[in-house]
Amino acid sequence: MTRKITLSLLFAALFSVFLHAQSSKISGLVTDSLNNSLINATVLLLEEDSTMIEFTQSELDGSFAFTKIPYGNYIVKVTYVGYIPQSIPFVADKKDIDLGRVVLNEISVELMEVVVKAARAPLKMRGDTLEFDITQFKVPENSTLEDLIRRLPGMEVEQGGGIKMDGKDVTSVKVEGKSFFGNNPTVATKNLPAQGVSSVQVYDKKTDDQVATGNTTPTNEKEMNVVLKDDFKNIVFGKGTVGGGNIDRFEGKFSFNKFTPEHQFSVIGVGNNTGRNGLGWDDREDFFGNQAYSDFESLKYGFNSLGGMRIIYFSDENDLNLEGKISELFNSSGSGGLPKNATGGANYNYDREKIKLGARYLFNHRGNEMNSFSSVNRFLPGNITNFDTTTSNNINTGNVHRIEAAFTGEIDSFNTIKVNADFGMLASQNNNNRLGLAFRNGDELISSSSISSDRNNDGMLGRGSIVYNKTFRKKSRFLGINSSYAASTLAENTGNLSQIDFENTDDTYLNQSFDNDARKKQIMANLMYNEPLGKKYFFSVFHNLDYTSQTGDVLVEDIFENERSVNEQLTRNYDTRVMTNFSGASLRYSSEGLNIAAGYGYQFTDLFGDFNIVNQKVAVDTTFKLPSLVGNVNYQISRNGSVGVNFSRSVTPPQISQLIPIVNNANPLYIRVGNPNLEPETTNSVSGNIWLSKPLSGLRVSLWGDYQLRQNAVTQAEEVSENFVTTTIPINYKTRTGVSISGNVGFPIVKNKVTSSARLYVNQSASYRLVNSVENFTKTFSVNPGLNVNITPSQNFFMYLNGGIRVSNTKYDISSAQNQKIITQNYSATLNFQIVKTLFFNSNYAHAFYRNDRTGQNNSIPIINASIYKQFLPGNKAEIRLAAYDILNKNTNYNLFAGNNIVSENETQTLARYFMVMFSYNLKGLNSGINRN
Amino acid sequence: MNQTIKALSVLFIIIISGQVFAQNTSGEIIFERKQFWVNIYTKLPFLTKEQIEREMAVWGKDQGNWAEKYLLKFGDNKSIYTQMEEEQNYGYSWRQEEVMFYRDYKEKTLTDKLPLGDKDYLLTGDIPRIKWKIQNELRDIQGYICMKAIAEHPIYGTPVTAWYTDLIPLGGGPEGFGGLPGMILMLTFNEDDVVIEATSVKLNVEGSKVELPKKLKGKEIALDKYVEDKKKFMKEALDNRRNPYNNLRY
Repeated sequence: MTRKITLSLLFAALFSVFLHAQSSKISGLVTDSLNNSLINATVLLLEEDSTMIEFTQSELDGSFAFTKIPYGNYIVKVTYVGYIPQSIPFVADKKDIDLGRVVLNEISVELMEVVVKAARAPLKMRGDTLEFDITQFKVPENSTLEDLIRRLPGMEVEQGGGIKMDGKDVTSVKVEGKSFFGNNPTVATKNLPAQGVSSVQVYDKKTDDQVATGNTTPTNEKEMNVVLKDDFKNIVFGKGTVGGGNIDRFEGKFSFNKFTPEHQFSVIGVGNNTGRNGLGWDDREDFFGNQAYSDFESLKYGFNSLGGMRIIYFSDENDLNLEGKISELFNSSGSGGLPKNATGGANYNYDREKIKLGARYLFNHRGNEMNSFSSVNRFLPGNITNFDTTTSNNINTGNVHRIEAAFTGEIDSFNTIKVNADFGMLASQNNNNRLGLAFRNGDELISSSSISSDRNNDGMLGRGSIVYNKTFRKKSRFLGINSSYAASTLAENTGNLSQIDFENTDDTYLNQSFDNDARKKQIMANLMYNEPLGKKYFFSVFHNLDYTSQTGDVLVEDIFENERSVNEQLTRNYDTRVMTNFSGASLRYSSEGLNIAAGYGYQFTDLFGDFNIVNQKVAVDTTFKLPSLVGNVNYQISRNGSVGVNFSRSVTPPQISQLIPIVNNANPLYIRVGNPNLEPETTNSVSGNIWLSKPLSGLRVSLWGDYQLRQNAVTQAEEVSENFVTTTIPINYKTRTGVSISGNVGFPIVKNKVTSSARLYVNQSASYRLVNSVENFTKTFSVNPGLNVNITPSQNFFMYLNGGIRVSNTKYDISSAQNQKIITQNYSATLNFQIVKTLFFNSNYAHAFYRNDRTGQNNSIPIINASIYKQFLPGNKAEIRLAAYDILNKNTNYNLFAGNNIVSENETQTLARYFMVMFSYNLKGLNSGINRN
Repeated sequence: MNQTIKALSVLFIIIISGQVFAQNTSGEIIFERKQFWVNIYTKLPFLTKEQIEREMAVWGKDQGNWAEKYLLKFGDNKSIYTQMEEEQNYGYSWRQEEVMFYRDYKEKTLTDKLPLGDKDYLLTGDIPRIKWKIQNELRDIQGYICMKAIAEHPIYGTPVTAWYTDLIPLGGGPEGFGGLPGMILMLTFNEDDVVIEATSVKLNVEGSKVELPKKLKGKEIALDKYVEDKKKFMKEALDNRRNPYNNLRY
């Protein structure tokens, strides 16, 4: 009823308007080219710019009409399946407009069948241009544009490559509107790959005269324009930086990349003696291209294998490990000292259809000199303290070459094979000199020592793996099998020279040379199968096999007055084999955001070891049976929140090196002995987590808690002699516990301009250690709150403030008078802003405070860095930067620690104040915005 | 004055034409919705050319491998578009967004259930008019010859392309889009950001009923207000150099 009234009111209103406005009735008749009426054709009334106003259908006699159309310019468009749509522009300027017969021409069978039906390609009619969007036109691999044109309706390719359209010669071929290939049009069509073409446009060629006069008389020549796919256009980017400063500082870095959808090529080179400007995530992506993250897959399976990722290994600046991978070099972190680094490499990826291939080489040189001073206070039973100071100089240099190749082939949509091979070569040298003093109860000197060692390592590694993954028609059914083999050799040659002067006993003098030829082989085979049980339950089983054999010959010689004699205690050859078989099964339930999983696994570890010492033969042959259990529940409360609880119990077997009952007295002040009776350690862990976020307001909350209980915990038993010579042996003793809770709340203060996040970490750990057969129980409790504020009032200004305090209390029950409280405070401020259009300023101030009232240690390190830079050249491609590092000249690596039965302080000299001038060039232009970096 | 007249008469025409096409067409169409993250990301205004090309080089080929399935049921001059139950892949279940577009073409009203941030909203209002421009292109989708029409997205202001067929004479389609002389079988947002394409078309499905669910959870909001809020969120994110689609259904 209401509706009727509304409608009649509307009619009344409209009627009164129509009395004054002028309107037309538009009519016409839809027929085909043979004058047959077309019934139910769609007739659209469009505005001049083709905006749809109204539509109707033609009647049984083909007629149509639109009434009450206000005067103006319109288009009537008629569409009918199988016919070319017809548009008729007209002016409505009188009462009755009869458009007469609208004739629709049939789309040729060829066009309809080939383009529309078979190729499913859109067909576009634009004036005199006929355009096929041929991205979906199926052509065999490696086809050229010519092969493609051959298949297009209305087009012919002649013997010599000449192209005709509708009988007219195509005399010019342009690519992206440009005449690339001179006057011979076949060069383009014969060479361009069909896959790179997005569309082909053919139109009447206009003569220069026609272009000048605007004459549109059709000519007999056609012109073709080839539009390339966007991603097919080559991507080239490259950048470089060089810089020099006082105290002989330099930095250099360049990279160049050329990417096409099928080929990716990159080279990189970095060299510096500042330790900064290393390689980061962006460099990693630039270098590896589409294989930047292919390294993350782990070969070993587990309870959460599907979707599981390998933990990223961040290597230390000084660490050159033989078994590393190229990708690890891209995430290094500094560790003080005076570093000198150089890296260079090249990468090539091929990616086409079902095949992916990658090959890369990288060279890395690392060098670092570290001078450090450390002091350690050790608490012994009977109120004895041992205070040690060490001054050391450590020089590391090393070169590593790595080659990696990876192949992934999709056999079909269900079967994938991946093959990886890599090769590495390492040569490194280490020179270490230490001067030490040991005191009893503060100031009674017990010994002074001078120890120096020279070590050379030479190693080679070869490794290969093959992975087969199969999916099935049944969703979630999955089979994965992989196998790998690795072999390496490492020749280590060390010369040790130590002189220890004891105050109360005979001095020790050692001059030894170690030669170790170590060989390692590892074979792994892993399998997993996942089966869906209905829609919500999943069952999976896995088995991992790992066989590692290590053999070696160690020759230790004592050198006395240039005479070498074999050290019968340390010289040996060894042959160890570890065979691990781990089987597991898990059952999971997943539905509507609730995920529950439970798994049980069983591991057999066989350890064999033969050690032949000159007059002694030691063998280890033991088997460990180790059960493990996991359970977890995760519930997605909403799209932006979840809670989870995890439980696990696992057993870790001892390392074979811990089991060998051989005395290692290479360092006469610190003697290590193995324990053949060492048993596995059991780890129980319970953890829970909550996260919530409100994207609209910018609020984020996350909470995480973890409790760990190690039973039969492996700890060290120390025997400390009168002269502070320490002998350690690993033993199983009671438990070790750890609790950690962390919370983080991110919230806006001024929406989108000032945001803040507060954090709190709480840790407690408790462990036992036996010192001279006396139980020492150490408990450390630390609280670490922090707050940061991010201020970005505009695009040209950025400020970041951060502050945190860590209070750590350590209690030693062996010597409660020595309980320690260490307070560490860190404050920092970053300020970046734009001075004028292309002139920018960056600065950073960081201040750290370390305090331990008991020992009177009180240290503060303020660091200020600042730089000013100007961008120039079109597109801001170049930049010149003046930078000052550590303006206050205070930089040092400092650390305070309390735990077990010790308190220690360590300081490493680090590159301090220096100034640099740097020039950068980037082919694509530099980022001009202000941000954190 | 002339503009007002034109607008009023257009309104009038729409009322009339709605009646003309009140044919009783029914059926079920399954759509696959693919979101192309790299295409979206690389169009963000605050990225440098280098960042864009790096993203394309690393991830360019790895997008569009995953599709969400939606079902459009229509009949009695109504249609309802909802996400089909997600198939658990290898046993982990996430909370999916609850999306529903309900259209009553006779009453010209809509009831939508859409997320924004962490909340679900129930939108009600009149079906807004989309200014479609009809193009000169044809293509085949699931055996239906479709015509191309383009428009501007009412929220993002970016191009929307629809391919509709007048062989299914109901002016509906996926994601609430419609108002054309036939059913939309393919829809793209901003050229290649999101592609929604019909993978199965069944007409006159027996026992299929188009009904608004009785229980509908969500905060009630007017269509205009929802559009305004979403626009505001978009602007804030872009002003702060964040990808708005990380937290927003496109």
